[in-house]
Amino acid sequence: MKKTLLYFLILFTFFSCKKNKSKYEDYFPELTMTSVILPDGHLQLNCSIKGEEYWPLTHYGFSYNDSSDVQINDNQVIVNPTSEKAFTHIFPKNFHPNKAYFFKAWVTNEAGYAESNIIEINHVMTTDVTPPCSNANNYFQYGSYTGSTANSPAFSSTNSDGIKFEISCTNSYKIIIQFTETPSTGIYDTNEETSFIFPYNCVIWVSSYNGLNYHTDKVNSNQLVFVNKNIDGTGTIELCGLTTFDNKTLTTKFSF
Amino acid sequence: LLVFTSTFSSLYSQFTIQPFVASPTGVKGVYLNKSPGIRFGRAYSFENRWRIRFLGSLSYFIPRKRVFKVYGVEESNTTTFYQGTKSIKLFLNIEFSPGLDIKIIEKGLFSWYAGFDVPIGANTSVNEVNIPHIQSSRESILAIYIGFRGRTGIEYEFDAYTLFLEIDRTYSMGSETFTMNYNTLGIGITF
Repeated sequence: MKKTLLYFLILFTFFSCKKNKSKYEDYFPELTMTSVILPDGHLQLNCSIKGEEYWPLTHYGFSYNDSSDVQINDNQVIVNPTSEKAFTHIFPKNFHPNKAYFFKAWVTNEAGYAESNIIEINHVMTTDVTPPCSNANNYFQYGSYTGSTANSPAFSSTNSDGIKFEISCTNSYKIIIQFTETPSTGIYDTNEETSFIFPYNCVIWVSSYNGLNYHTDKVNSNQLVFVNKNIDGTGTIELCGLTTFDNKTLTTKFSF
Repeated sequence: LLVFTSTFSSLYSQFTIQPFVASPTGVKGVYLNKSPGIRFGRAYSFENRWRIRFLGSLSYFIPRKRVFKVYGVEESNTTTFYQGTKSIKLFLNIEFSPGLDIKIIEKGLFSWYAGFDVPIGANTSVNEVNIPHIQSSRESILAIYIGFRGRTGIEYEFDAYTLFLEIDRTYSMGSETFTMNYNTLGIGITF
């Protein structure tokens, strides 16, 4: 009995043995990233995973920066894998056409992380976006009121919370649109929060002054903002019937 | 180890010394290379095919690289991964392991045996971790563990000496942070 138990323990010990990898790098898969500009101007990155996995992968992501020394926390996007051996992401057209961007993919496991090759992409194509409504420039409609916006508002402020436009409208109305960063051509989602989830959100307020008090209303989240931007930095922003907390709709088009 | 060795020196046993090469496995095997170690202590002679051993060991583990790529996670409204580095400046492992062997086959002066230990160990490590936004520190860790070791070996007796070649597998209980799992191959002498 004693002998049987001993043999069992010894066999268990040796069969539980997992062979070590010869090199540190062998504990991580090999990542290969490719890129494609889609017909609508979006940038799609595809990453394939090669090699036997010693540990399961825990997270998958892409990062980019305008420097070749791109870190995994730079403009980080965490994604779900499309299969055991691949993951992908489509970036909205939120890139400056005159800049170069450096992208890399990465995965994590219990022991560390692995990185892909770095891809440099220049002159990301930005085709105009088409909003579902068609209005003249400087059109402003808020609830039952229809008026106009002032000409060519500029960025009113730039701080850690992003880029803010303040657009004066007739009848003491004012629209404030705050983007995470200087917007480029693309379709943005609205967000209720001022703390942004990078990179595609903006917050929109409408305030009115009745001579005594200001009243501020906010656009509900997950609605679309259409930005078309020219290479010289000018452009237009269009909102088509966005609903607000006060159950009003906001439609406007202005240039910047 | 000296206290332990001297404790058993009065018993009817022989002194054993065994240099070995240890290969860490599990998470520690990612960072630590095959490294040298030494076991020494007391072993009884086989009696009715059984014997008892009391060995201590000291291992100096060498890191696989000077700098490892590691990451840290910041959880706020969103989850952000930050890349960083880790350097292992020191990794020492010390163990005391009482055990039991059984002689499986004896052929002339050669014999084949197998056995097990219950190692009680401690490892101390000094690490430098630098993950921007998360951690930048030099940390010392002392981890104590208890485990199980299975082994097998062949030995050759001549005069009052016994030469042996042995392989074993040590498996510790607990989380990977505090355990020490490794395999060894060693050659030793008992006298």
